[in-house]
Amino acid sequence: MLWIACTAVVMIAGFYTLHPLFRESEGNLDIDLLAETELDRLLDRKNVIYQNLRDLEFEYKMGRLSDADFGQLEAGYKNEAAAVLERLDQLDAAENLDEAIEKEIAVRKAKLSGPGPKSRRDAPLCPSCGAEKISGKKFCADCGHRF
Amino acid sequence: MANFGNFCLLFALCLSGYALVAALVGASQRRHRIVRSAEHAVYAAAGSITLAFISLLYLLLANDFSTSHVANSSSRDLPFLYKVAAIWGAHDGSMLLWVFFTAVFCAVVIYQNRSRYRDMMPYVIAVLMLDLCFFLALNLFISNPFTQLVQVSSDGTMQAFVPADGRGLNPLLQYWAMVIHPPILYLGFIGFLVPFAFAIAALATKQLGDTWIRTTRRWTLLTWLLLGTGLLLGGKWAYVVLGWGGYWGWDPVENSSLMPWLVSTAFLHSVVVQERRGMLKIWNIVLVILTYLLGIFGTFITRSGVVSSVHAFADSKLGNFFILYMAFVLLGSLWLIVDRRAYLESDRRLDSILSRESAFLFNNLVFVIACFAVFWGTMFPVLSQWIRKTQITVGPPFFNNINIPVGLILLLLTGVGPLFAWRKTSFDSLKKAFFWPALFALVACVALVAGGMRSFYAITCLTLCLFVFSTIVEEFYKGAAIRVRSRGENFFVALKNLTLKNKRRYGGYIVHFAVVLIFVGLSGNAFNRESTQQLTTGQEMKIGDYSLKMAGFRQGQTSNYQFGQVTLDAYKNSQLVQVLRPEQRVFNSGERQTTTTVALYSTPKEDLYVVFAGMSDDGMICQIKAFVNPLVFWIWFGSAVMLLGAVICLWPDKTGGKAAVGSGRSGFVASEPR
Repeated sequence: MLWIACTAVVMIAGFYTLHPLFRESEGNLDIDLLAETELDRLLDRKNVIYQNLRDLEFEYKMGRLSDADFGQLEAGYKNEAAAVLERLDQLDAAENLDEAIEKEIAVRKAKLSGPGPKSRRDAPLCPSCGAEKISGKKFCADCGHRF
Repeated sequence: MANFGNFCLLFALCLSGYALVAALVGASQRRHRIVRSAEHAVYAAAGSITLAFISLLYLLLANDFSTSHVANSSSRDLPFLYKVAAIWGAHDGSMLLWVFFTAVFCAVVIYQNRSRYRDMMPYVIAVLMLDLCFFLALNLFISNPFTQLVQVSSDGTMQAFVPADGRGLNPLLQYWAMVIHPPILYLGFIGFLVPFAFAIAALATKQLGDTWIRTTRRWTLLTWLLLGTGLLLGGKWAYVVLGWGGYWGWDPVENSSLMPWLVSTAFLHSVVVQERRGMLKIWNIVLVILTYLLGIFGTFITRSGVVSSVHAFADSKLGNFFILYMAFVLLGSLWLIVDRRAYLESDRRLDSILSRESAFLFNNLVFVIACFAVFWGTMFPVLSQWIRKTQITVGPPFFNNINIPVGLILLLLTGVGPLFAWRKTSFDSLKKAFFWPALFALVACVALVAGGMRSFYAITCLTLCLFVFSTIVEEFYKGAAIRVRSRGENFFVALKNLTLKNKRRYGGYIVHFAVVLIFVGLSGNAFNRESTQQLTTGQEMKIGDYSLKMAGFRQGQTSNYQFGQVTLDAYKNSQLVQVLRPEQRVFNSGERQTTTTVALYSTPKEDLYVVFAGMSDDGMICQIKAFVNPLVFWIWFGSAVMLLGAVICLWPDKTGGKAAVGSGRSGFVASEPR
């Protein structure tokens, strides 16, 4: 009985652990592609500065800050925000942001999906963005295009 | 069943070892399916450990005394609830509970982040599995709950031995708070593994922005809450079961739980500075590593027998393994920090000493000093033994002399910190922010002195409590008033919306309010009174405003203990307020240990705490020990408020629960005033 139970545990857990190794789709773990970019950091920073500004205004309305402090701190945050927005603009000018994102998505799709299973390759595609069309759906799950 | 449990532990060790190696290989070769296999191995290891845990539970419930753990910590007459609690009633079983919780945490973390942070997750898995492998190996090879009892027969051969009954659970552990206290405390200790794993993964992948902090924020808060709840439940247990009239004795094991809690509280504050101002990046990493190491150190203290304590398991075989593991973690982490120091530079410098970030920094330093003082006092006996070959123990006066002033400074900072603005605050703004709270506190201080209070610490503590309380009330009032003005809401609706729409900020203030309540309770210590008298039926004793009249004595027994119970009528100003029945219990199993059960009459003003301390040989005279402990009620009430505040902080936003922890382009949902 003990041997049966132990063998069952090993078989089930072993199969469950090892079966991802033999799946058809490999999918690369491209650290550089997945890593945080300067754009991520700038967008995060922008959000935090806006949050700080909202907070500052709230505390001013609460009567906790003198007019002089409020003016000075608000100017400081706005300068910080301006610097971040300027850098975002530079990135945008160097490479159109939307295009960059589209390109990155395309690269990711190519790298991550690899040669998919047959049934997937044969599936109908969205005429607008090329994503796989899910049968029975009236809109594309990726771009929202009406089929 | 014992063999099956043993096998499951061994198999889980193989799986977690595989997960560790596979995660690192997958990351270095950038092969996603190897990492996916490592993830599956973690789930499988968690399943295998769960089977081992169920096996031990089955052995306990089935009264199978063939294993040393069941024979030493359970007995046939033990009630069902305590049979379950017997899992952690002895060293080896408690280690299995630890391993079980670790495995479940690992599985949950990996499942939660299965589609996120794919660059970091292999390293997170590796760190989690390193920890799990270490504890699993100890559980299997050093402290195994499935070890079977054997007896050596006259011809020298060993045979399996099954005693007719077990030795029973330690009577001190047979109390409701003790059933939930160790599991909650363990969850608190183990949970810090998650932020630690993410911090190490962030160092390894050089992703040292705010992602790892945002990802682990809720985990850290939840773990902090669990550890704090565990500490308070331990205090409640000590108060009600040990019968010495107090709830905190600066015992090494109590201290070992307090230390990670202090450092994690510092971390919870300092992460805000990193999020808001991009500062203290190295400091935050150091705090997370320190918190994790202190959790392991606490386990080392409890399980190694290096210091003596009423709570310790005292198994000296484990000590060296813990020291090696802690040294490995410490050196590895330090090497990573030094190697990645270029990525840990702050985005900006401190603008002014009079700023919120400066208050947070000061608060952090005070927390760390408090932690170091507790560490020093706890380890002093060991250090003195090493250096002077004489063990010198430092008692509660040492801890109180340092930690009471430190605690008061922290209480002051609880009120002062939120009054500062980020970046810098002028004296004009400070005057506006401080005027009413400071005036209120000053008036209260004068009133306390005029009312006859003379204890310096008690006056300072209560004054500061009132100061902090007024800052919190002002915060809620002014915040709600803005909503009333700008949105036309009813004041109470505005108050509710203010809290629910800014959960992190206002939940934090509720936790601060709970801290105030707990400090009010602690300040009552200065006025404790104690009296011991011998009474016979009809006699009475006086303590404070109370008189206790002995109405009778009876003996009886339950399934697992015999008891003697004194009935005392408690009068206050000649009015009967409560009938108290303190007990002494002698447990049937094991060494027939005697315990006391305290009788309490608790009001917000004070606790009347009565212990049946013993009786004369002829059974006619009972020794009664009575205490009047002012304001203790507020400690337990404050604990409940703290739970409420932390739950509010943890409650996910309807729209942004997931986005708030995402990185960069996934957006960042503001949690500030709306």
